[in-house]
Amino acid sequence: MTVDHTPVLTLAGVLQRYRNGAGVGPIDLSVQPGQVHAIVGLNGAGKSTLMRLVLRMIDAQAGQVRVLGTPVQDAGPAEWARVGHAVEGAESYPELTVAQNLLIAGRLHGLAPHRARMAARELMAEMDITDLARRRVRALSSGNRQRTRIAAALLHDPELVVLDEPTAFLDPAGVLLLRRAIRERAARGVGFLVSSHHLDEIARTGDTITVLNQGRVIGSIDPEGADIERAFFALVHADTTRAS
Amino acid sequence: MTPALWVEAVKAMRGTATWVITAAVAIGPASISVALLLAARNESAVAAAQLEPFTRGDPWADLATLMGVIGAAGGLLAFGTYLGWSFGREFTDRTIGSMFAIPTSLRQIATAKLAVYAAVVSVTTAICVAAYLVAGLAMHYPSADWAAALKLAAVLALTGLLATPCAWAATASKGVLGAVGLAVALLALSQIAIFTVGAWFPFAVAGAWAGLAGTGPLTPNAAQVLLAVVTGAGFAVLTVHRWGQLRLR
Repeated sequence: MTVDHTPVLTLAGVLQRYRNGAGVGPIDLSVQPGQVHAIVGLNGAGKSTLMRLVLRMIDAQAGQVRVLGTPVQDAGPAEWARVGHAVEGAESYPELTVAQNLLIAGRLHGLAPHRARMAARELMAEMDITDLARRRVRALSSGNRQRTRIAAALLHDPELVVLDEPTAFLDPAGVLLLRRAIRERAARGVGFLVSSHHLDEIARTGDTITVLNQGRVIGSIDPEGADIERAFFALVHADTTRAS
Repeated sequence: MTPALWVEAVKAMRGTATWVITAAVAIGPASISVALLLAARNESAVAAAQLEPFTRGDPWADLATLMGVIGAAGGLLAFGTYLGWSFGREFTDRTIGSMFAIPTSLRQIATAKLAVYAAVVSVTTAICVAAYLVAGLAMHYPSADWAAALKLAAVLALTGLLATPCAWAATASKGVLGAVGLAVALLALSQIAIFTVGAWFPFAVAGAWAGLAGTGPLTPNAAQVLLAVVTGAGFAVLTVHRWGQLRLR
């Protein structure tokens, strides 16, 4: 079997800074097929901005983002059909049921009606929300809403998945389901860009852990390392001390 | 049906706003008009005074005038609110993010929203005209005036078209309130326009056309109606364009 080593995501010198200094960049990183690339950082480190740049919710001031080998500004339906995401500001429709939300996600990602229905059923089973299929999202717990959003990000079988704080609100059972969903897909060659505050979970799921501080990459952490938390704070502290 | 159109149709059908606004514009003008006419028939001085500027003695035409004037004013608010909900809720409910990085473009989604809106206006107009005929027959008017019914339909459809700036305002303000505020402002400016520039103010055209069944001194000419149509269509195009350029901070 031949393995395609073309990165599913590349950021080269990407810069997006706001007047108050917030934002990211310049930043370089990549996600290979089958790689789970985790981004960790304190609040305001630039994780969400980075993901918005990847999904073209905002345009970079400089540098280039390539999604599945294509510059993000040139990405069209063919590229975006192979990308899934669950990021801040991409909530489910509260007045619709779980099944309706997933059908909508499937159709907007280019699946035919029959395929979208099948995929919705499969993902509800995978995320253990089948019993909630007819429940309106507004009536769900935060954890089950999060499971619905993750299901919507995965149901069209994407090759690149961007997840912002996917473990937020999840109970331990949900975290296990998510970890399995990510690892199984990564084993099939799907690339993941995942942000999280949960260092222990990131260590279990991620292949590469990049630390972001004040919008810059300040280092990486070995997911196999003994004390992830200590390594993270050592990097952040050293960077903050250097900056001041 | 394209995916975007199907998705927007599902959202509209499940949205309370769609049904409340459709019911209000479809039934409201007939209900208010019949209530006023019955009160005047029962010698209510207040009702007679309110009806005086709108009546010329032809019962079908007078009913169409009343319903048209109420529909043009109320419709601008109601349709503007619908557009505010349809476009603005994506920002206030924080669902807009799911419309990025998908094979369905933002332009397609905005166009689908406007297509569903056109369907809402069409259904509302059809029910309103049916209510007009039912109301007239219930009040034992002589044989139906189809020309007046057609004019009422045109007034409501034009009102729907003239509310499209509210879709643009919801997009620009990234919320519902910008659209509602603009609808209120356009309605107030239309009232001022009646005494100043008349039907050259595009948003006053539907109401002016409805007045006295389109036979009064303020009746808009063809150029003024065309300007109103172009204005409404222009804001629809601007809204789609703005969605195509949409970015989030």
